[in-house]
Amino acid sequence: MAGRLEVERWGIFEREFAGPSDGNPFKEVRLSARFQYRNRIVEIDGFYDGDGTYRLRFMPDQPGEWRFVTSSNAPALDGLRGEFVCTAPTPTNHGPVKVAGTYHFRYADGTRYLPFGTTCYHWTHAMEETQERLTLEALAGSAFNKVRMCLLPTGGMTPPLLAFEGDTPGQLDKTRFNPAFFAHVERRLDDLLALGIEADLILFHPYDKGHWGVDNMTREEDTYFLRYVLARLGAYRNVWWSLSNEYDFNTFKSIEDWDHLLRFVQHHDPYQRLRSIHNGTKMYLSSHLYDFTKPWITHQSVQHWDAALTESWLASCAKPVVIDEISYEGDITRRWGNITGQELTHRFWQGMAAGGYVGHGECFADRPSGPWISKGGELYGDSPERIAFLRRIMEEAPADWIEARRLGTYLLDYLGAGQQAYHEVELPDGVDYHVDLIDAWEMTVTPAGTHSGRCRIDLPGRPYLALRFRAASSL
Amino acid sequence: MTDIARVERWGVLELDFEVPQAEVDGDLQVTFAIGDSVFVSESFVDEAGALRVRFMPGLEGTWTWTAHSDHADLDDRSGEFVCGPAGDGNHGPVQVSDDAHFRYADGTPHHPLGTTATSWYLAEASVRKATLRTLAGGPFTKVRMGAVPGRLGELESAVRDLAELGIEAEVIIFHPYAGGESPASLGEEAWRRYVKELVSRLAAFRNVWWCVVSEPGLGSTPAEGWAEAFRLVEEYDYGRHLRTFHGRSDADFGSPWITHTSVRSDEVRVITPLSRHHGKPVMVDGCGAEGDRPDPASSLTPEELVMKAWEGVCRGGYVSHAESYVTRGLAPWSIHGGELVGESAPRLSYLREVLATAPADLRYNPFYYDASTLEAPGEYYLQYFGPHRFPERRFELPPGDYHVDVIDTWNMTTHTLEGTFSGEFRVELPRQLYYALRIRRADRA
Repeated sequence: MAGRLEVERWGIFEREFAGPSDGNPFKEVRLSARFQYRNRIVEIDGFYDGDGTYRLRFMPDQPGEWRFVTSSNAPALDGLRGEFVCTAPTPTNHGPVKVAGTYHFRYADGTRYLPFGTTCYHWTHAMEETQERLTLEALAGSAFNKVRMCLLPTGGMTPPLLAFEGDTPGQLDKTRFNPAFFAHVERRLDDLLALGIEADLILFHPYDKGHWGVDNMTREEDTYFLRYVLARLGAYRNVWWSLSNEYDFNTFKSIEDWDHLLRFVQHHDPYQRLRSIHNGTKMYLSSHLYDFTKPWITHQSVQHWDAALTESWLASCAKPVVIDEISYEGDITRRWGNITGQELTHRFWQGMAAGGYVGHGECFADRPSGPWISKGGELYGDSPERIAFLRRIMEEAPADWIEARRLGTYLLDYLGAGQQAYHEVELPDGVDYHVDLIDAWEMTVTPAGTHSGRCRIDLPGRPYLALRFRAASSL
Repeated sequence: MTDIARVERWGVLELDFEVPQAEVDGDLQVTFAIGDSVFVSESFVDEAGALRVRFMPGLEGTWTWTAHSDHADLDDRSGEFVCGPAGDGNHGPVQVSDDAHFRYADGTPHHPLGTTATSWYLAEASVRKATLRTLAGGPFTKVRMGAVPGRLGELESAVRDLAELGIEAEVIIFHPYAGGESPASLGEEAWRRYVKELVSRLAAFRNVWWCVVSEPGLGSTPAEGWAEAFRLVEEYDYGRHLRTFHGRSDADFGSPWITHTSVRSDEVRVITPLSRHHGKPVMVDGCGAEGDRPDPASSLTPEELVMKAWEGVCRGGYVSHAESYVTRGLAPWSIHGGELVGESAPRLSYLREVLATAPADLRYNPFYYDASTLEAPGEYYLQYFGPHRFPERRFELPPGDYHVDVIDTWNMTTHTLEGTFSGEFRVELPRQLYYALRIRRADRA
């Protein structure tokens, strides 16, 4: 080898090998590799990429020398060795996101990460370059740093490529994957990575209604799919695993099935990416959150219409709350997709002031690029710029703003949808607080003097206001 | 070096660089290689201030080593040694062999039966001697003990003494109760250094297991800090020893870097769901102690503890002993060691004898839902009744003739029934507590 092969920390090391192409290599050829750093071994699966090509894809997490050796039931792929040097990350690479403390997140390099997610379920599936470029531009211009997106199609779609081989409903070959489909997803993962956006990959969903045959697979088919996805996509540092969207709407699967699949992902994921599962709701009636206290869950991915419950979720489970779906800004015929930008902004503030994180979505009926939650495109709503404003406010807040409230160094009182004329608050003794009046809708921050002890702050008597109290000594 | 050093497989190789630590700026590490296998061992400083590097070779043949250091006299020093066959009684380190079992590296089955004596090695010499005497005469294959920063020399002696007895030494790296300074309270830089010193020093002993932290929820270090500690242990551990943490049954044992579970639970029946959930051997290292301390977890009757051990074993798990008497004139065994005064240990010896004659790799069969059963189908069955006083049990076994033994686990007697049994049959029982049945294929040796 001429020069040393170098890969930045948390980047992707990839090696390609030629191997057998006869029979069904997806099923018949096993390829794995043991990567060694000092004495530590990290074992990963390789994957078949079609046309006799096999790949190892690996994310090194420590700078220095790494070596690997493969093992395979195909002699051409067995015992192959190699090494590379893992170098310091480039400045925009902060590593994968992990849970920090109890209720928050940070990147592996310690940089704070506050999820401001949005949802574009099938934005990569139509494979229309123009639309996907639009989506990426919209994301680049927004405050969103996480996208929920599906790998499997819904019953109503006719995408040009699917994760599995075949294009006939009900007759996909679930023993063979479609490398071109995955290669396309990977390009988009790279695009998101370049924008600093996390990809919350939804592995299963209940919207196939028996059409393609992908939401009622056997346990063996499910785990066969997961293993391929893990081997292929797991090395991207911006990937999170969302086992399912609205898991409880899938009548083919039980809680025990989801437990099994979540554990399967945990056991086969050398990187231990963030891992959760998203529930469905019958709006204003019921919402069956998965039991997030189960040890294979890293954070609470909630669908609920009521952000006021955030505190109770935090109290009942010591893991971060991310309300990934709280109804979408839009004007479609379904209740979950026709709230105002004002209402969605309000819910964001409610959830965050209580210590949780909230996700965005948008679905207007008659806009040129179609509904954002399904296809991406352009953002038309009023909430994205307000969410960007909220993000700036929260980035100025202490990393654990609920703990800071307990300590009396920072208090964020969101006053909600009412129109109170003044706000009374009892501040901790002996500390002066600089107070700001924040208008969540108008996106303004107005100094409201310095206060201490029991005080009354006059308000302009309109909704969507917040008061921020910062202890003078901590400024 | 004149003579080439020789060491047995899984023995301890030690390099002494004869350079005082004080003269070495920074660290020394040594790479050990044979064929395509490469390991690295970091130096540590012993009590005399000498810089040492240890290694445990796991392959026979000629190894080479190369030192790397900023110190010019040390850098690029190299040498070789020959690793010969393992000596008598040396089966190598214990490893996990599948989702429920342990084996030594040479393939010999290993059935752990642990006890806890967290600070025994810090006791005065006479008590230490008594502990070793007790262990030598007892049933235990493993002792859990807590490491204390600054007392690694004493810990090392303890590991060596246990190795002499063929007993595994489970080292709790971050232990909140071991006395002295809690490593979890060290600053980040200091605890990283502590992990490095500890692991580099002890990984050469084949009987070492790592319990990275006891009760991770109780320390001030957040969960991601413990993942970091596991990663460091893996990096420094050239012996690739067993790795777990000790925590509640709802703690997360699923990550790939955790080899088996080490659970604190007064209900040993959690072994069944935990085995299913994690696909790893389940060890209940804290189901309570036989004793009379004023708290529920340390005042079990011996009957209760023995029952938990049998129940856990017959569910395919492993249950550890602990003893904590405070009114019998001795300090509690599970902290200070010394002598066992309780009545459970002899019963655990009996359990161990039963297991010693059983086939390896028995599995729990949930089909026998009303009495926990370990089996090798068609060969061997061990069924435990615990608190249930069955008048009889019925079986329908694969074709063959079987011997049936009725075991009184408390009184340590085994009564083999007359004749052989086959097909569908019924066994009468004496309607007493703590019974078990053993069924053995008759035409096997």
